[in-house]
Amino acid sequence: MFMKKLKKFVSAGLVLAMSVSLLAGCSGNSGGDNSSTAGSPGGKGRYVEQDYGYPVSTDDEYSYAYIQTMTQLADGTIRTLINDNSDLGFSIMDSTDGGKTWTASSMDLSPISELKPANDENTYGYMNTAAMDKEGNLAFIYTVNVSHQEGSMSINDSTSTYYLLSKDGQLKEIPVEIPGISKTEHYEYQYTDETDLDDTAEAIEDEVPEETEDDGIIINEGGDSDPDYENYNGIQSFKLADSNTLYALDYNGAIYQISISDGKVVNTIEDFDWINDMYLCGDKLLIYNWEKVAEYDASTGKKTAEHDALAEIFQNSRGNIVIADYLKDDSIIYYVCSDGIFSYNLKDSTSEQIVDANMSSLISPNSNADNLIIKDNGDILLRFSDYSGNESTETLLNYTYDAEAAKKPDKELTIYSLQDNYDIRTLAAMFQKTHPDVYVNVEYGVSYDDAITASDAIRTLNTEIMAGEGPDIILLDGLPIDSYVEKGLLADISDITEPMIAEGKLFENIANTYKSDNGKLYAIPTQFRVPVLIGKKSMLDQINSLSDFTAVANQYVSEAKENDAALVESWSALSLLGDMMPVNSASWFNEDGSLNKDNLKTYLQDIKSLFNAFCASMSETEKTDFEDTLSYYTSEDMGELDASWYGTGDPSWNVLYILAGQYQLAYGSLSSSDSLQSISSAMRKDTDITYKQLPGSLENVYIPSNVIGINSKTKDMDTAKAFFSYMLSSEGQDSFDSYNGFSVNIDSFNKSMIDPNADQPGYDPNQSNGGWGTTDENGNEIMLDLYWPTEEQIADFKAMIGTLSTPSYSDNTILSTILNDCFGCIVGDDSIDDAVEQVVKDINIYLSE
Amino acid sequence: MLMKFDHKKNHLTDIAFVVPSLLGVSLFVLIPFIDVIRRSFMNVAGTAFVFLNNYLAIFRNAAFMMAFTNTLKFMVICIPILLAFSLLIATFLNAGIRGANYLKTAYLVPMAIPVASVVLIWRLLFHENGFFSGFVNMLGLQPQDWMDTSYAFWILVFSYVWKNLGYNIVLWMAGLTAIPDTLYEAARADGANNFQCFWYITMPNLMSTLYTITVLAFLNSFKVFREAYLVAGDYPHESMYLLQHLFNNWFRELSLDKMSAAAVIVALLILLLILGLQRSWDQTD
Repeated sequence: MFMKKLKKFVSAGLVLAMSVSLLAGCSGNSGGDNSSTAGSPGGKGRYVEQDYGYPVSTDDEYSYAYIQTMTQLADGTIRTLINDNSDLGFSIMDSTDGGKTWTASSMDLSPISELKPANDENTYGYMNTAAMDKEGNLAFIYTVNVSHQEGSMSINDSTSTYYLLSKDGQLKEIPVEIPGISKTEHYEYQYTDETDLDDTAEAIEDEVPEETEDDGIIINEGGDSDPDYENYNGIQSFKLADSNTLYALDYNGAIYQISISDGKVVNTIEDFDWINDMYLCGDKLLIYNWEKVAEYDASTGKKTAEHDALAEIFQNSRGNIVIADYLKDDSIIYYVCSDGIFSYNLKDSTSEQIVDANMSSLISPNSNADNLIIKDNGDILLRFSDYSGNESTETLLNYTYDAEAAKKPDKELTIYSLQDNYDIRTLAAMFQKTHPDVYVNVEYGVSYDDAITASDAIRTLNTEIMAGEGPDIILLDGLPIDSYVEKGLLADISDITEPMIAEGKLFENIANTYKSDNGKLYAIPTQFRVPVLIGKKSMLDQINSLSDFTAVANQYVSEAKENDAALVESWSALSLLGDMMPVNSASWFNEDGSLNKDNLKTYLQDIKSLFNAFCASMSETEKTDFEDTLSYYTSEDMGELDASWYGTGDPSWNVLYILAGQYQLAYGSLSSSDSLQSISSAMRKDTDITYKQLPGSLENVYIPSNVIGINSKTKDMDTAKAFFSYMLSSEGQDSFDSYNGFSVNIDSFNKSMIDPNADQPGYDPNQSNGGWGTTDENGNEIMLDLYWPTEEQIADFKAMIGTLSTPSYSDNTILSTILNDCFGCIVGDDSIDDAVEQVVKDINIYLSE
Repeated sequence: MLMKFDHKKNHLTDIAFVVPSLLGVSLFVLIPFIDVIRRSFMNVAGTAFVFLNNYLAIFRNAAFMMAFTNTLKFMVICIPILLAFSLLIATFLNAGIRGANYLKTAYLVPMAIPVASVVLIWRLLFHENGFFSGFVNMLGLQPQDWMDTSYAFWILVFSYVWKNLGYNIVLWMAGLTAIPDTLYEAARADGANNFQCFWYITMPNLMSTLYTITVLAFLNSFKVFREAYLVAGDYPHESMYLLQHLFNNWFRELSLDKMSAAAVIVALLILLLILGLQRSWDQTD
């Protein structure tokens, strides 16, 4: 009886155990490896960002101020040394309230003012490479420059001296001699005939002093040769431990521990070829280069540890890394990177996130953080620069722990991009700033640090979407847009775009690229490029199709004489097959999506003929260089070609060479007002130069980019649409990198067409904005002065945009296959028929799926 | 009554032990498959019933027919070769030759080699600049990327047989050792030769083992997709484009309607095959 009861009890227990273990194994998140302290929404307590502004005002357009170094003194005062255009060239400011307000420091700077050379236009002195310690002592290098003229030679001599200004105002020279670093430099510049110098330029003399390395003499001949950068060394940075201990880092990866009293080098660390920076954390000297983080005993210079885990964290981080000169509890350091502010325990290699970049200004991909200070009360202060949008900002950011602040906003917005996208990160940062109640998270499918392919990333994304865990906003470049639209995965955004189009805020033809037959819109390109051909009008008028292009090129070659210009730059010839795809590729496919072999064959025949004509028009020198490049591109080392690399090159770079008569034509895609400026300036200089839409088998083609859609299964449609609207707004579009394309927002486009100098006093639209030039093989200089496009030129371009009606074919899988299979028949001797058959074989399965 | 009550209690205990496992299988296999069947009759978004349209679409789909044909061809060729070779080798090993145990272990080594390593070996052997190309070049023939030709199919067959040979040998040997020696002794006493012993004693006694091994070989044949995918990616040479490639690509394109229909068809065919085999062995018994 007892055994039966025991058996029953054991049976029930085993059944229960199995059930519980099965159910536990089926539970959701296992925790993951996110070291963020943000945690789940609903928790409280996090560091909150405050903008303290810059210590000094730089409103005056002629003033500048740059924080060279910032230190917390022993008494809690924050002291900063600012390079500016004051008499001394710098100022020292103190803040006793943690960086909120600043006043001129009480430190006696008069000894430094005595270093300043006499008032002489040829002589000036400046401070560089400075460091302060906790007591308020200041170590720095003071350099005096003396320049004078000897005939057509300009001579410059500079002398650098190392000093320590003690906290009580005593100035002492540091008599150190650092191996390989000269304190004096001699620089000579010889002007040529073409270089104007008070209208007394003379010819280059035959006897020019030879370069020497030993005594720091640097010769610059006629503007062609550069100073001897290869052997140049100097001081990269200082760290001042106390009034008698200075650490100097040079450009060759060496650190010198200097005794200030006698100038002797006490210890030398020469374990690296290059060091990004060094940090004095308590009694430890941390050294960081691209591969390693090494720890040294600051007093003995001996290496004590290498921190591989920390080095790996730094390698995986975007942007700059800065470690605070601070050590807590003998082992904890603090650093700031693109992911936020972290503490790191050197003993057990554990990291803790203090500030999540996603919830601060640090998320901006255009930002730079420096001078990280951990205050005694636990607050964190740093200098922050941001170059997003139209203006760059410099400020001090302070982070204070707020126990009542929500760890994470209730709303979360996830943006997905197949590859790292600078514009999306910038936009996310700006949206986060203006919407602090939304946690913006940017995810990437392919990171290049692992073996994940684009296909794998798309499958992972699809799994998440089908599971209802997909992102809210999807950047559709590289993704199967048509498939997503057909499957109903993208939300209808016409309620956002139609009012904007009706109000004239968006280019209607571009915005409606993906409009479906039922009138709904599921995706929109936020930018676009315009394929163009640049050259002399007489030649361009004859080119209205690809076959015309081929005929004109062959005619040119047959009639060309020796020394006539090449048709195009050699790289353009190499990338011809891919560059011409945007205006031709859509014609290779029948309505049912199958490949039209005849059209593809015709394209390849035309391209082959064009390529041969381009090569025949090159000079012998160009041919030799071209063949070297070609041999690399046809070798195994090159790997697979990707169609997305082509068709987006800016042809305006070659307009100078067309002007100089070195090339006849240039083609590519216009994407920014700078491109238009170059072309317009060339047209102003030579009225025969012009540009037109790149002719092909299709007309009025444009290349959509940064195509965005909303996931129809998003959990927060309102927030997603708010981001979408922001992205299409003028403010959002202004943040996009102009080199990726013109804005689809008309207002933003119009703003990009305004001369950046237009609001300067005394602005003259007929005044050059600078210029750029080159020299030909005979040494003749060719210059192009840049002028902003005129209203008429801008109107013409805008009218061209109005005619654009055909988006380029966007299936990168097929285009890349065609590129790889047909490259050999264009640049080599492979048969075109065989190439077409190979294409059919390779894409047959893809198309039949 | 007491006996009936005890029987019922034991029955309940048995069910109680099965239920957790059954729950797991239902949650991860049966219920999702029911959902797949449901999706095979719906449109892509899962919002409208389309009856048999998806099934008609896949039979008109050239990629599906190619993948289906290739997969069927692969199984029809591979499985008999694998069964025959493994049985032959198992018979020799079971005959008591010297070093049989070591040989048995050696045949199992291919199973232990990771798939990625097998792929690397393939590349070394069959790449355009690989060992095999070098060999044919010495004979004056044109080297080529063998994985991008119709030879790719036979390389796949070879790889499958090579990898699974040892496993099947072990299974055959388990079946062979279960046959009583007395049957062979009696047969030899009656004048039977080796072939007659094999045909009239060994083969009939291995029928149940044959059923198990056939089913396992059939299921393992689907795993060859791993090597094919790692070598040639989403779109290999036509000759080794299998059903898994198609499903993989359809998932990337989110063609879940076609995927579901194709999955149901394949599952039905596998079920029919296994049931047919089972019926056939049962009749033999």
